[in-house]
Amino acid sequence: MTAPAILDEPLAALSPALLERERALQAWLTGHGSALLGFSGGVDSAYLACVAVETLGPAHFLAVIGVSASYPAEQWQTARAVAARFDIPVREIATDELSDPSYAANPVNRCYFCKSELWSQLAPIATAEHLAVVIDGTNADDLGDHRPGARAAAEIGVRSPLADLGFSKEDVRALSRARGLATWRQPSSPCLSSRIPYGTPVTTERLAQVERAERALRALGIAGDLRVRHHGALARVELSPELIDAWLAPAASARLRDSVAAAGFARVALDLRGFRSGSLNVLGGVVAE
Amino acid sequence: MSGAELEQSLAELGIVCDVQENGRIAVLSCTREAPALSAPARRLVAALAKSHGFTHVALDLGDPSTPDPHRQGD
Repeated sequence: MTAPAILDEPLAALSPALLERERALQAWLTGHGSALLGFSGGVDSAYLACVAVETLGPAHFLAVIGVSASYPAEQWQTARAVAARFDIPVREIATDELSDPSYAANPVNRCYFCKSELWSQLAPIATAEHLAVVIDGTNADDLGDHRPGARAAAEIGVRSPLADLGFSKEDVRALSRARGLATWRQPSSPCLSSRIPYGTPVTTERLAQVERAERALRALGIAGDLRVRHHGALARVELSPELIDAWLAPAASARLRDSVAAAGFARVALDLRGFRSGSLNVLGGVVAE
Repeated sequence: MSGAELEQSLAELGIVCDVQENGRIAVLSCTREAPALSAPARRLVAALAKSHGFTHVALDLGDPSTPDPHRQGD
């Protein structure tokens, strides 16, 4: 078994309910004997990867990263760093969802086509490596969201142990922190295509614009939730609401504007309500506000 | 959904801005000095925008002061 390298908080500090939930996850994994994880380096899959390698051992577990234009480079680096620190066996594969016209057209079920591409590549790897089950990091909170990608996972037989065992995002963050996983406080980071309104084609250039803009804003010191939404020539920036006052100040707003404009936008606007998860689902009329 | 009506409602509150419609987004462009939009003021603006049919409201931050190295052909 591979122990976490550093614990910044003893596991005993966790509530009995959380510890029991983690034991249930370990039992679930042990019951399957081996697993392949679709690994993004996000909060959920990083935690699941750590528990899985600890429970199953590196010979019976593989984390696979799907790399594409819609996968943020920073997230990729995080995934690699987590894998290195926790001795997680990892493999990287290229996925090319943008070459699928159904995906590139950016319909409201775009995620279905992306996940179909991902899981259709991962399932044969699991078979070839004699791994019993393919898993993902979906948690229980995710189940209420608009998630067309879940249908693709179901079609391939992908299992979601965190969701099945009732792990909330808050649970995953608390347990991650106890394991010394830096991802415990990492903002959620869906793929870059989530910044492009439905119906606007997803292109590598648009994804690159968004990534450059968000990287520039991080370089200004903006932490927490952050999205640069791509509306053609206009970039609409969503920040954590508590940061808006500071970034509306004239000098600060000019820095923000110029940083985003340099990424390839003619106009920059700051959303007055701030970050909203699924903001473009509301804009597209997919979900009610 | 009407940007002109939202513009008028905002003006009645002393927030003088042009409102451009970008789908269901109201983009406020303030030609004079930018209004002081405290958190309560922002909530009020958002509520007004919603009452006029907009799902989002954003403040245009004005003309970029640096050239855009990624724009092509213009």
